[in-house]
Amino acid sequence: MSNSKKVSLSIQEAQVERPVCLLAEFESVAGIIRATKAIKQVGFRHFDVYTPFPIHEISGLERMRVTIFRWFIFLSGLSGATVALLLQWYTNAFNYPFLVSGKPYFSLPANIPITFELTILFSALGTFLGILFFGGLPRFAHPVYRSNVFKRVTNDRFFISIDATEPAFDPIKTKDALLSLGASTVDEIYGFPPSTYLLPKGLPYTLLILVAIAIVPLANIALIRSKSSPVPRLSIIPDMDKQQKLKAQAESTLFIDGRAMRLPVAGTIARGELREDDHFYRGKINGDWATTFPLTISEEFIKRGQNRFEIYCATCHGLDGYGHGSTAKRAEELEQATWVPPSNLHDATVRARQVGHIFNTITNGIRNMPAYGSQIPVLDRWAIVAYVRALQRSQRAKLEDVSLEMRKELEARRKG
Amino acid sequence: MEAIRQREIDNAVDDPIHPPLLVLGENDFATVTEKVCAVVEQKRHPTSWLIALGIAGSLLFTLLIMIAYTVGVGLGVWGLNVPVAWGFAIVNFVFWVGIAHAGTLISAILFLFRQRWRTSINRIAEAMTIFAIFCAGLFPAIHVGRIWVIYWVFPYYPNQMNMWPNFRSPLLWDVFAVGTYLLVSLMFWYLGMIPDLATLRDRATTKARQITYGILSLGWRGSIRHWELYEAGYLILAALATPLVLSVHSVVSFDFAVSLLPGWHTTIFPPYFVAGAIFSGMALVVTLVVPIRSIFKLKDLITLHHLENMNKLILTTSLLVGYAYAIEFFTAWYSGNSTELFVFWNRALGPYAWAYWLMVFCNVIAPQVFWIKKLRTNIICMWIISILVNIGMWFERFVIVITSLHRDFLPSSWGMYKPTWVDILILLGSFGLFFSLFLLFLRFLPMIAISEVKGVMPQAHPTENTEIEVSTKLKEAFYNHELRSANTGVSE
Amino acid sequence: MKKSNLQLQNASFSDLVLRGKIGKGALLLALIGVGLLTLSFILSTTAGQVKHFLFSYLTAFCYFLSLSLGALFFICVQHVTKASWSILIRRIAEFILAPFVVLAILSIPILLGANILYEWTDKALIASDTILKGKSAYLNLPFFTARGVFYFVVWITTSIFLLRLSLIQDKSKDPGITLTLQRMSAPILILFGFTLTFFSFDFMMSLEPYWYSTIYGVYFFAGSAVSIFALLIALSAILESLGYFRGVLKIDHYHNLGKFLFGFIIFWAYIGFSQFMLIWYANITEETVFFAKRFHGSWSIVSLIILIGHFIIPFLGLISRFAKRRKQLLVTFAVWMLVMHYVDIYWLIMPEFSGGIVPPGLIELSTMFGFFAIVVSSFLYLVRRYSLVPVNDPCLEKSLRFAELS
Repeated sequence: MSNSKKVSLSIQEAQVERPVCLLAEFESVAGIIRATKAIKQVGFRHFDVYTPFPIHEISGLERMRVTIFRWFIFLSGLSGATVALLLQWYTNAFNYPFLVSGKPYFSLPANIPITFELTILFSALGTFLGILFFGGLPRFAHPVYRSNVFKRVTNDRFFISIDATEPAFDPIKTKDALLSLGASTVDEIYGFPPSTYLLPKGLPYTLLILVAIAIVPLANIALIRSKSSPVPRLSIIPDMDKQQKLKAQAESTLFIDGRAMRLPVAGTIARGELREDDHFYRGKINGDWATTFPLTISEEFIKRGQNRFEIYCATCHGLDGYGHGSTAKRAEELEQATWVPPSNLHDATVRARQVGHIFNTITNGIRNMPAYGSQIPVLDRWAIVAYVRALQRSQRAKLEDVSLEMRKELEARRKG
Repeated sequence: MEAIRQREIDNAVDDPIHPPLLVLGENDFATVTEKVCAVVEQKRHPTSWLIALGIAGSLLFTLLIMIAYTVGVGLGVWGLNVPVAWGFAIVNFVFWVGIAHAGTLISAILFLFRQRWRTSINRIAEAMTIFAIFCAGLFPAIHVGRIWVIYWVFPYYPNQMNMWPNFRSPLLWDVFAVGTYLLVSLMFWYLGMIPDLATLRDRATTKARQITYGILSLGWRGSIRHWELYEAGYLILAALATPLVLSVHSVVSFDFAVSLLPGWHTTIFPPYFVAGAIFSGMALVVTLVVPIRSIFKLKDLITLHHLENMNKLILTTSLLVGYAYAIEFFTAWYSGNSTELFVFWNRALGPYAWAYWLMVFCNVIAPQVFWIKKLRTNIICMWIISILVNIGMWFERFVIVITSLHRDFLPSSWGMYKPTWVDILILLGSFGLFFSLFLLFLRFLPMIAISEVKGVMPQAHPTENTEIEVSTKLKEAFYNHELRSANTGVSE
Repeated sequence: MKKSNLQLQNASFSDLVLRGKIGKGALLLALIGVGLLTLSFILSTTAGQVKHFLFSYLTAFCYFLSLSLGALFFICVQHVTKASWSILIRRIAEFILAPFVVLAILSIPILLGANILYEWTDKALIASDTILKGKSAYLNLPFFTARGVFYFVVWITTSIFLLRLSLIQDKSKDPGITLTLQRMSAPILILFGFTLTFFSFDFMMSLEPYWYSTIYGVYFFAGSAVSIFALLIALSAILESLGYFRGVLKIDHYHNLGKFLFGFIIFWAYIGFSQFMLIWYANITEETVFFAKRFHGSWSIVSLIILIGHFIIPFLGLISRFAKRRKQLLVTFAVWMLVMHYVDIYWLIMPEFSGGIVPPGLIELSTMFGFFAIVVSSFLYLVRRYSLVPVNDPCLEKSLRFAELS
């Protein structure tokens, strides 16, 4: 306590000795220009000039700072462009890509407007904040405000202040010199008495209380977020959150069976699901297994069948159809007791089966073999049947079944 | 001598050698400050101002009621329907955004072109810009129907569902363009006002004023070090605002022009919209400035020369807009596209022909009277023309929006658009919002850039020699050599 | 202020005229130009390349015409805005109006070759095509010729008007002439706007008769405006290096021209982008044909060159005050822009000749140089006779003092 008093006393003592600056008032533009030029030429650095409007003849004290300021703006603009491009790429092309009118996810022409706008916005913000930052504004307390005549600086008077920090500063000599340059008045400005540095008494306490109160809602939010509650969410604007309708799988007291969802009328068939053609859909003709295909067979169709066979059937029946698929082998290896080995498709029984029967086996399964009807579309099932027939025939093929060139090759092989 | 006298009274005289004076009467720096500040500092509110504020305020109140009604009941209370799903709200939006362009034109573009006459009207135009953007922004906001989720137009975080705005949509570009424009205009306006707010602070007689203007002026003390930064920054801000102002209305035009609709989809739309925007904005400036200068006794500062220049700009932009109308019409025929041509015939001869010809009359024909010097320097004439232009430009947007929509490709879905009383009251109410804010601005903020006007006065440019030879005697007088050597270690 | 004025007075009237110095070769140059054009015509005809010759001829024609149109715009705008800074260099722009006369004569081969250049001259095609039939009221040779004549009559009479009054003032010192020019420039600008637009529609846009774009005229204008400022910078620097303007033309004048050049480069990009953006976004086949030709295959390289060379490089290069105040650098950019403007015109016209890129070959070079020689000789014709500066313009002093006033 006693220490600080001592310090403040010494400041006051210092004030009595020396002003912090001299403030000279000029009445004309010519006067201020001449005086400023003189002070510059004399070699003073720690001075400032105050005018109601910019005067270009005496500007140029802050060249370096203005250059840095310009670069600062350029960089803010650049960051604006970068932010805009990243934002548009991240949101529309990366985080949640979605197509709009056939344009690419990241379509530069469509991104130019916003990139442009944000470049301008960031540069402008850089300019505005830069002026404040590089100018040391806002600054509400300054020694020059202590002069009463200084109020006219924003009206019709021009001022020069020379800081006491100037090496050659002499309160009396410098004052005389300023007067000789045409100043109408020269004020000596003293530093602030220390008491003015103190905040009004109640202010810190008021602020403290306000801060404390401000924490309450935040703390409350944090508390609620960490708990769970059976009460439904409070919606200030309900939008369509709650509607008078029954949701799927919900209960309802309206119907006897207590279900909100109603069953379709018996015999209802969905659009496109009327499977009238017995031959095509079930492999039957007049209740018997069909012996013919319901469609004409092409080589491509059989190839399709092979492709499907290798995907769905070969794991058990094996690529060749002898029932040595990888699943079957594995099951044998593990000596699974419940395992029923898959049929050998080249068995006489299987070979004797009508195509409709095989189709039905694929559709509905047999013994341990599951039904594939839900996985393989009808056409593909017929394709598999066609391929199975081809496979069966391939195992009992005669030389006459093969083309002439192949025959030669096979014979050559037999000999070799 | 007689000639100079003449210039002082009527500075709109063409004289290739002597540029017109921008401040008339026997004014010096102090009287200019006095004149502008008097408006803000007068103790009693002027009666005319009170009446105007009363009217504007009640319109504003109507607007609020109507917005509440629309939000409460739903957009069905407007006249929107298929096929015209964009009605008054969009027309008003484009109209107000257009108005907003004059401020930046005067403050930024004319600044870059060193048109020093801008100084006495730029503050008014900038204020107008900002309030017009408020009015403009209002319409899309209520048009979305659920105004409380308007923040969805911005990308925000946390965003649990990764639902982002569609950055490829011109409507979103609008959000960014108009938003940027508002922020940049605000900065530009405020930055320009800082020195003048300091003037008000220094003249303030009450504590409340001192504190308010003191905080607003950020402790501006007119240091030339600050002026240097300020001028560099102001220039850059002007250079940034110039392409910005072009982009804003171009983006607004994209809302229409990227579509496939004949009458909307045409490549000249961006520059055409910009020209139209500046045109309407300048007209509103004239409409406002003419009564302001006589009510607040500012005829010395806002002179006939200023008004004449504004009228010349109105004439220029009127011609640009006329050029666009003509080229659009010609190309509609030249395109060989029957739907394109139909839209234009429908505009000129269809059920909305009255709106089309009103637009042509107000925007292209009426402003041609400004070719005649007597008429473009006649206060009453220019005031009437400026109001006609405002009407015409509103109808231009009406024609673009409504006539392109109401008869589209399918004749079976043709229809007519009729605004409801809610539509009309909202339009009137937006004028209430604008004028309420504008009237408050006139009374509480400096409406003329005091410091800038001082800079264009002859007194600010001394003709006498300001060179100075620093004699050794003066140097001697300045220096305390003992101190200097003691402080710097250099002895002389 | 006194100094520069004195300099100009000391220079005296005769020193400001290029007479007898570089002007002597004008006639010779014109002959060389005509010779080059004839030669390339004969050579290309014998090689069966008439169409190629005509297209390169049209490219060169439009290029030089756009420069003179730019000058007309520049002069009128200076008058309308009562600009004083530019008075010192206004006469250069006035001399650039001279090529209008020779270009009017040089447009005859285009008329003669119209049925090779323009698809819409094909009567059989029109009869079978409803769209072209609809346009034939506008796109037909007699009307096309009449419009061409009208454009040139407008340009030549307004040019003569502007130049003559300005020259009269040199002798009469009448400040009233400045007023007349200021008043008349506004209506001239209206005429300028419409003639330029329809010229670009007729001579360039109708090369692809199905395609249309309302902004086409503005795009052509933007290119002209860019090139006139580039040309004024280049010519001022050349004349200064020859000893004229020395000490009078300050870096501030160049700086101002540079600012306008920079501004119009952005304007050009804005207009170009507006056109592209709207057509790209809407994606209508009738319209995308223009960009499809230019963005696919080898023409895409030229499109890229224009984007980078006509906008990105000069934009970044000229953005700083530093660059605009270095004469060497500014002149380099000005010349660069003049080249880029040629690429731009080339990009507008040549894809209609060939789907694949046509690298500027002998035909292009010889037609360009032919036009260049003829146009320069017409420029020199005026330069030899009249003062290089409007010596008695009442505001000349302000233009001289521009450096101090700004």
